Amino acid sequence: MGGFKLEWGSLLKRNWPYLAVILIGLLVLSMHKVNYVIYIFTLIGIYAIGALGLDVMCSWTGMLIFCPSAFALIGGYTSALLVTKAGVPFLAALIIGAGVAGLVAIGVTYGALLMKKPFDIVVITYSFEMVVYYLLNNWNWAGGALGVRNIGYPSLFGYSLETLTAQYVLTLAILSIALVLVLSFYRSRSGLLIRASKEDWELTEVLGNSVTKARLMAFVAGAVLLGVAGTLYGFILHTLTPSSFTWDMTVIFFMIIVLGGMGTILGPIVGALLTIGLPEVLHGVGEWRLFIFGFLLVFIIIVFPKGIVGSISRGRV
Amino acid sequence: MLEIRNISKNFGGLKALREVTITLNPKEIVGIIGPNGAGKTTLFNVISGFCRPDRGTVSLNGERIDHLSSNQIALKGIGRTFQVTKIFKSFSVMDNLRVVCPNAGVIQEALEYAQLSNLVDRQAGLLSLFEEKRLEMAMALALRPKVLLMDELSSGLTSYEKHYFEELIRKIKQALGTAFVLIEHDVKMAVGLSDQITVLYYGMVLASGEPAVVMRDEKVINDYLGRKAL
Repeated sequence: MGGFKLEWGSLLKRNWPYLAVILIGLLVLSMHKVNYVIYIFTLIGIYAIGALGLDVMCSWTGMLIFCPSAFALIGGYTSALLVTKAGVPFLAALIIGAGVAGLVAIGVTYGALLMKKPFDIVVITYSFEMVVYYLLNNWNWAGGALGVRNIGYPSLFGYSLETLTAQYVLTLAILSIALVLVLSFYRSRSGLLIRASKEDWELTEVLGNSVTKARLMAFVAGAVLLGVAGTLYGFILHTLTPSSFTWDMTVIFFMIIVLGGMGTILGPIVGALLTIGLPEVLHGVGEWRLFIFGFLLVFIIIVFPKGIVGSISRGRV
Repeated sequence: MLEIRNISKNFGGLKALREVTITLNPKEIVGIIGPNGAGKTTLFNVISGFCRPDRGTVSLNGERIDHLSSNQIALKGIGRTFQVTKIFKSFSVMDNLRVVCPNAGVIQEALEYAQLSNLVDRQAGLLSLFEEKRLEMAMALALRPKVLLMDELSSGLTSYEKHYFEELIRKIKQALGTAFVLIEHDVKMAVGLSDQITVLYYGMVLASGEPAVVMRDEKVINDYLGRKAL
């Protein structure tokens, strides 16, 4: 029975070198003199957190959730409004924003799950993304199309994190916590039930488990992470508008998890490095930038059909 | 204990089950035999909540369960296995059992019954058919069921392996008080194990009763077994 306690610990034990190399590498980058480079890596960290959430939602359950940017938008708007309109501290606003995104995820996905047809959830979640965008775009109290402005800096225990380096380290810390929590969730019984429902929902049900409940857990966990990503995005850019969270952002999140490797823990980090970082690296080639970027994406998908991490590790990470 | 009363189930024009009534008492083994397409697996699907009956009721210890979902029925105490063995092939043996129950003691007991304690870390997809069937049974046992529905347990097994399962079922029945409903194509095995036999024939109960009596029933001999079987 010792196998019980070893499970998620062994995953960390097996993968710690990858995690350590990436996290130390990113931490070293925080010492970079050029602010723009640090800013881009902060964005990579934020996208990686959100993509980790989308990966839990889609890869673990086998269902397509087409509204990741809506959950990021809800989390981001909730925390930004709490800070700007009610003076709530950053950390509390971050937690509440993530919680609200998780609660909304229950409402959005529950009805679709009861139907048990995979495409119902695609239509419902895509429609939800449209609804959130148009609602916030026309909600004057929340700034309408201009969004929430002057959000300010993130702060922790009374210290305002005003430098880009501090914000980068904060993002990195939250990404690390998210990775550990997701790893732990993956090996927990709840994580096991979510993955079981993907492999064979009939068998999962006949063994006394509610597949709907298992999938909802994944959607809530994913929405919470996307809500955190939305909050960080707002506090790094100091402004949030509905137009920053459109279908384009949803596509970016999907590109990240597909390029990195769906269902892998490190895939979202590698995918975010490529999707957000590569266009910046290609700035030097001028107008050919998008052409080369697109070509490289196709090349990666052909050479690494399960994403980079998924193909290299053969699904072990 | 388990009462199946006047169950009917149609799929379009196909009458899969017609007024089927079966009663299962505690610690009893009921064998269900019949030709392909007789409605045996449909009956299991109705009992375990995979499809709703058009008419009739299913009750466990006096409580109707035919309106419940399959996971609720499982939690009420009805476990089942499938005609084509169903396990989580990408999981380890241990994780397969953890899906059923988080309790280490219950898992250990199920592993011991199925003699799988030495294979806990093995990926389920790498198991032999015999081991897969033992794992499937261990998973059903980890539910601590009052009734276990076993669909075609013996298919693909050698005579030694069939004998192993016959002994295991008797042992579980004795030790845990579990009642069994067995769908079997191996009539000899069904007759040897069961306290009662029900013969399904194109959705209807052709005969029901003690194995020796049912095997001598003229309708069963003419329509299902044939003279040569005697």
